[in-house]
Amino acid sequence: MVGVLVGCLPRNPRQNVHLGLPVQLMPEELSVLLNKGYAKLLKEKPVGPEECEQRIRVMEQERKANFEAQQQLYREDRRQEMVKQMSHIMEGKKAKRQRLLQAAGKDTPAEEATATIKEEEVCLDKVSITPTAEKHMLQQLFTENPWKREMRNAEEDWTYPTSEAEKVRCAVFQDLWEKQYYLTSGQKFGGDFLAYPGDPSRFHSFYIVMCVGKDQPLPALDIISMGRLGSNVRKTVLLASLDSGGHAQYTSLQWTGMS
Amino acid sequence: MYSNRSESSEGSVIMSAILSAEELFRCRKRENLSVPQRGGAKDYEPDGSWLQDKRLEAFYEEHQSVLAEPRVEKSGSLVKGTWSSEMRLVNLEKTAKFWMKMGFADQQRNWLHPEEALFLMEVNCLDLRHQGLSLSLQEACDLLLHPSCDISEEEYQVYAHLRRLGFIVIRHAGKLDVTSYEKKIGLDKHARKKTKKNSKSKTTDCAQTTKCDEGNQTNISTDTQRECLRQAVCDREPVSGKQTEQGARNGSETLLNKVTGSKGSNQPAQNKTHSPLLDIEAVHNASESTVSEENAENRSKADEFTAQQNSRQGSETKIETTVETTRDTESGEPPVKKLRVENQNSKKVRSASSVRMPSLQDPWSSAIKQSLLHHSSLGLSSWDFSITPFPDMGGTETVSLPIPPSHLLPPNTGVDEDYEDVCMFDVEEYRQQQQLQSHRSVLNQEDEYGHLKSLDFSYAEWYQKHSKPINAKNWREWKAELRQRENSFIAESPVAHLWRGEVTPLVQPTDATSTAALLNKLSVIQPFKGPFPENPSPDAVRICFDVYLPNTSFKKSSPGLPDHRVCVVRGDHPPDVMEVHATTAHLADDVPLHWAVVNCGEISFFVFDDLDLPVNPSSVG
Repeated sequence: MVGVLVGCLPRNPRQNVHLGLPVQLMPEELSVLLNKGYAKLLKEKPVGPEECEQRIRVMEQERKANFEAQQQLYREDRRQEMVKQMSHIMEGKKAKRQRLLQAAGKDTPAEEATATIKEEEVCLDKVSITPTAEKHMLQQLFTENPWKREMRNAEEDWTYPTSEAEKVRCAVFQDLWEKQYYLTSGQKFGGDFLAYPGDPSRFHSFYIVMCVGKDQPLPALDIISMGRLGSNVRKTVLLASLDSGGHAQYTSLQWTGMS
Repeated sequence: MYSNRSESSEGSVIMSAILSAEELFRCRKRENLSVPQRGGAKDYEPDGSWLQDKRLEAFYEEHQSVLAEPRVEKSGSLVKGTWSSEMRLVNLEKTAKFWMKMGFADQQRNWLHPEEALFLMEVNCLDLRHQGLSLSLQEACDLLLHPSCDISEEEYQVYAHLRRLGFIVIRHAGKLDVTSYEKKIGLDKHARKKTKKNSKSKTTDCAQTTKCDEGNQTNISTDTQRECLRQAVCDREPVSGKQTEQGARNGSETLLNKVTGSKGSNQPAQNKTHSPLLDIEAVHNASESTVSEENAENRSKADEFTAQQNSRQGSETKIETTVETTRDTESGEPPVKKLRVENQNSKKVRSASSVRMPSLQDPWSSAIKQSLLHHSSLGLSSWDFSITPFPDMGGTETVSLPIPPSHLLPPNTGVDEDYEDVCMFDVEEYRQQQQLQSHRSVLNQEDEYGHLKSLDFSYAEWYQKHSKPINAKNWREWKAELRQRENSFIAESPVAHLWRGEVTPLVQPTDATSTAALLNKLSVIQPFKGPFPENPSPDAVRICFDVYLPNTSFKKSSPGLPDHRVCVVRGDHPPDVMEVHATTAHLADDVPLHWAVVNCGEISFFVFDDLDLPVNPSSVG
């Protein structure tokens, strides 16, 4: 089951090349999953006001604990940075001390200066680091609902294949899926599905599948246009329909000339 | 990566998707902003090779890790918003950079539309709360894309797609009355500065007020109406008749309708005694008469042309009567008489113009104004032929037309002294002449298209026949002599006096190369674009969004005419021709309408364009 990503990618939300979660499934995909029992369709039960208040309390607690932990982490991070930059800090302090002493008019030998500085080095642990403000606190924005909630089975609400055309589509999808093809929406090529031999991101599709009813009249112009399309994009056009027993039958179109 | 938390003290359980502080901290600096490429080198078919499997595995891992990255943002850069179910909008506490291009303010509160709020959540700019609880994206989708809000899943997908590309997208604002000139100079996008004294800007306001028909008297007071009109007329007067005749004509026509409308509704009888109105009326009269003259000339020419078609005779325009005078000198008819016919023709034109737009003292004025009133409201042609008196040339022998007042005539023209009160047009004589001409053509055994041959006037041929050869020593002299000849032709022609005044005819004698060229110059015959209905028809598909190009000068208060409009349809219900036409017809401006077809998360855009088939210019009539 492939599906289509329709959300913004958290890493880079303002581009259309690669989208992120959530994933939208085709109705046929969902029908097949439910039929085979690989997935369940759930619907959330509405939340009462007490539950809501509980959640608010929990959320605030979590946030507070999280912020405090983050403050610690920020502090640690700052300390480590200072350790890394120790040499630079020392130089800066030395230069500053010398400037002050020269301003005061005394001449100090170098050893005295380094001694005093060594004392200061020890006191680094006691250097106070200002706690980071709350606006720098990192917060997680949830994509999926983090709360535990009651769900009920909503499979009866799913009434997808209703009309004849939809039933044909669903049956064809199921048949091709069982034959190990990966199927996606065929809107880009003017058909119902595109059939891939493997993952759509790694392979090109072989077939453009168009579902037609068993007794549906097909105008010759439509056949010509489908044939042309297939030959131009180097894919085979499959006309799929259900026979009287409900099995899928396929006809492929090939654009040739008379030779 | 995620830490599992189980029961908290109150018994409500959080699921396992919460990041601990360490993990959040790690997400602080995003090292890798690159996005996995789509496409690239693909294999042909699965062949079970180890290399292929490895590649697939690597791909899946990358895919998984990219998708599983959490959304983390500093709480200082998040704006807090609250969902209000009654309003179905999101209330913001304070605004940020996105406020310049999204949302609206109302009653001291800032609001966002649901699609705008959802998009901001997806790009990590908004922390949406409902009843005190921060919402996750899943919950927000449930709430905001509910069918009771007027944004559907597909529409949101199109919105997000366009926003991610960088466009500025707002909800469809309906039809905007922006003329093409305003669009060209960008006046529609100019946010009007509110000054205390003169709080109306001139042309945009008038453009808006011309929209209201005569029934709408309550909103705008008559004083401001008059002020507006005066300004609008002053703005349009210096425009020369020829260059922007089209725009001015349209503008003055709407102005005319508005004037009659306002006058009709506010003052049923023309109160000339009202002093504040007098000067405006004088101005209006001048503009009206200039407009009407142009219109009259054109319409009468058109009328004459159609009359010719019906009667299958030679044309009666001034140019071609002069042609006939010169051509038929050998026929023996006295040229004086022909000239009189010509004068009569021109008088007919002028008197027709008087019929069209009489002065205020004329007794027909009220009737005509009433007919204009009545019909301008219906959007039909403002001619009520039952009221407007047209000279009836059918049944009678002579038609007498009243002499128009002298201020309506073109300058440097006057009525012949023989005609004192009325112009008498001898219908019998006219008909006889036509019959003579038709007999002559029959005698010459020309076929039924003989009347067309007489329309084939070639100025070059005629000029060659009737002019003396130029003697010149070199090319420059020859050209100079030629130019002089042309100027003198114009100056010495019998109609030269028409160019001496302020108002000049639209065509020159030298333009008369062929009837098609003449008509083209006058732009008399134009493709009929159909009446534009005021309201969208019931067939029309709902237009969703107005799209503007990413532009820093976009102002939310006056966005102006959009660059594109987008209509969202589902993949299984494509629009048919009637719907397409109905949707675009009522908008009547040049903004392209894109149809976004959404099918299971995939979006394609289509545009329908109007096409005018080219017309073969050599086919006349």
